Amino acid sequence: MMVATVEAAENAGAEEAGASLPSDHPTDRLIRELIASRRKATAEEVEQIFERLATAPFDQRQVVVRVRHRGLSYAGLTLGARASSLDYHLIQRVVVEQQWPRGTTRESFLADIARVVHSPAAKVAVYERRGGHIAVVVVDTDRVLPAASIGPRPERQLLVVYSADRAMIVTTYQLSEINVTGIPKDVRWLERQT
Amino acid sequence: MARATDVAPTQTPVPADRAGRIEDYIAYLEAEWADVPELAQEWLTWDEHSRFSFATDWPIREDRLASLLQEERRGVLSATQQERLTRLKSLITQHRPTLDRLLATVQG
Repeated sequence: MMVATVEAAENAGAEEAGASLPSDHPTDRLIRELIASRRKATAEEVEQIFERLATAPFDQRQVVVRVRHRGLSYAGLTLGARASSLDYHLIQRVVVEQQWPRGTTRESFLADIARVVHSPAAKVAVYERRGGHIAVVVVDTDRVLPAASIGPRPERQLLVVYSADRAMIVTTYQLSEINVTGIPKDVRWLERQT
Repeated sequence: MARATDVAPTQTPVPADRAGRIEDYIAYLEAEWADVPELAQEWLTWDEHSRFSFATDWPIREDRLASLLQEERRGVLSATQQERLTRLKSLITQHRPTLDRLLATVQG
């Protein structure tokens, strides 16, 4: 029974594949080229990627809210069947995972993301996952977040994940150790000039 | 309130915040993994972007599981926590193939 259900899901996903074109922005093309070629990025290219993430929007598209999360309320917003990706991520990080504290607003959440991307201590890696091209910026949480942004259940590392195909930041969260579970084994860390 | 069974195998007192984190992570993962069959049903109606968005967040679950397994190796789980973690591992073993098949449908 479950197999048939999941196979139907696979078919539905395949039908939707190719519905969106990858971003044609020069830096997004650069990210995809670096992943494909596996060549060493220049210092200028690495900074170009940081600059791209510094100006990229967080995903604002409407996404489906899982049934188990519907009815969750935070900051005057109650989750229904759909929500903006930003709101859904914010509520999950604050209410479900408690990585950010109550009181975090959309604006302060986005400001924390900006702190990560602008941090001189941040590192960037690129990788391919499920056919998509990703750049991820990582920094130690306590190096960038002010005390007011530390939730009850923080983790050591803070990630900002960017899709070079969709031209948007698609998520941010904290992990205890990115190399254990957060990224594929063939990830490429890009050296930053210090 | 701690019960008689809530004693770490090492007999070493576990700091309250660390114990609270362990409790929270077990409860979080129990809820997440128990929901996989429901998720598989919902998945049929999800658009491609919603599936992608879900997949980008999934590493949080794996990281919290890795943290719990590390605490288990350190021997700091109470007997009750150890029982729950053992049941959680069985739940994950049961539902991992379904989750993997769902994530395999995600584009990019």
